[in-house]
Amino acid sequence: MKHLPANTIEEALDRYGDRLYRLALVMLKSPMDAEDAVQETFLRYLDRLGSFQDAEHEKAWLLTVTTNQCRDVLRARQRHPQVALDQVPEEGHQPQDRAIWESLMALPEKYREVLVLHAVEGYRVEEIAKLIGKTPSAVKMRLSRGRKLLEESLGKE
Amino acid sequence: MNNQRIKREIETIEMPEDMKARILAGCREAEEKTVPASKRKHPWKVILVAAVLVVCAVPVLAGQGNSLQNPTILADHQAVEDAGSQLGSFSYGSPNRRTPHSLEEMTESRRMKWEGWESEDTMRGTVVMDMTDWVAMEVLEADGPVKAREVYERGGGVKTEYAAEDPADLQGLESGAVTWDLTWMNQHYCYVPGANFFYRIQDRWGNLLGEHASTLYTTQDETAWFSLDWTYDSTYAYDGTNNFVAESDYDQVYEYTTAVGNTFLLQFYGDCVWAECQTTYAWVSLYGGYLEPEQLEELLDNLGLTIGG
Repeated sequence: MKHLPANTIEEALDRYGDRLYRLALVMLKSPMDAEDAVQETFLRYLDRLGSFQDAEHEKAWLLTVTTNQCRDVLRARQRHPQVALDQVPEEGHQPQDRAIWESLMALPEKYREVLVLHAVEGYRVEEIAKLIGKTPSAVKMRLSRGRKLLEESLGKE
Repeated sequence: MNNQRIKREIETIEMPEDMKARILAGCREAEEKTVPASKRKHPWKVILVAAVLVVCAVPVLAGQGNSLQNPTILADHQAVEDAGSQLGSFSYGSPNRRTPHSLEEMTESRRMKWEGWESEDTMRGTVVMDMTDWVAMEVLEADGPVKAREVYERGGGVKTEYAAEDPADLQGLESGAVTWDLTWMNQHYCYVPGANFFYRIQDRWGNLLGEHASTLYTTQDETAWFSLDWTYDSTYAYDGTNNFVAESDYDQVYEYTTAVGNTFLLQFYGDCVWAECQTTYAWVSLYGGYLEPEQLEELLDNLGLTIGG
């Protein structure tokens, strides 16, 4: 059964806020930048409110826009590096499993992005490819390399 | 690595309440700035208007997408000028050399791109005129029969580019606005390895803006060669009404409609040959040397070309 999209911005924020923030925080490693990315995403969402076919379509759109916003921030950082990213404090999140959190955060952004969409959001390779505008083979490659790097970092389980 | 372990860790992250409040306040502020409360439309009205617009726009766009926009063939320059003076403004193309570029010349820039796949010197080029400021790139595949990379535009656009030894390996990457089947081509002509490219350009939201495919072939004895390309640009509706060619400029110029119904303008001058099928949003073209009209017609008939919207 298809679920209905949100009716108001409050409802959308309650429904999707956490998952968009997780994605942005994992991609950007900075709560402040993550907030900016999510804020910008919801501002875009205002223009689209009421136009989604169902909740799944709405969620996919929000995740895509969030990843694009995060990429913008990353590109801006490449052009104007200001802060050493490893020194940014992780306000608001106390990792339970510090080893996995630190290993994940140490991965390049392109691997973190697909790992979150796959492992946390449960999207399949083809779906992630559509969400982030890559080919399925590129997504598969990133998932595989991302997992391998995590394993190397944590030691084989 | 166990997905569950990653999921468990990531799912402990929640957006702080004060952050949620700030985001909500930001959205409300933007809403108020955009539309005064007294004038805000009910969502159903917006949806109704959008639905009416979609119903009206779809047939128009579909018609435009398939609408042929080839230049009109007129007898000579005088006829072009007469037609142009009635229209106010016009353009017409004419050949400037009887000898085609050599195969080496046509291969050179392609080879630079193939061999320089990891260099930013080769990342420019566009079919979307609003997107020319390519600032960075990421190579996805640098080796193997198909190379891939992403090129980033300052405004957030992304160009996803592929290069292949065999152009048939690039089939299936296209959106469907234009497609071809190179099976017959690969059986009857030889592709030039590493001289074949495809890219798509998307805006920062992932919407498709344009695509471009380019291939280079020779006859099996290498006595004739040609590039065979197509371009799709959803951002610009081309109108060929004021565009002409003068028959007197060429040795031979005529329109040819392929077995599947695509009408090409074929032009021959000296040893040069051109073919083009221009529609509102797409352009399929061939340029090369030493092909006979019958060869060219047979080739176009066997492209399996579809041009949609």
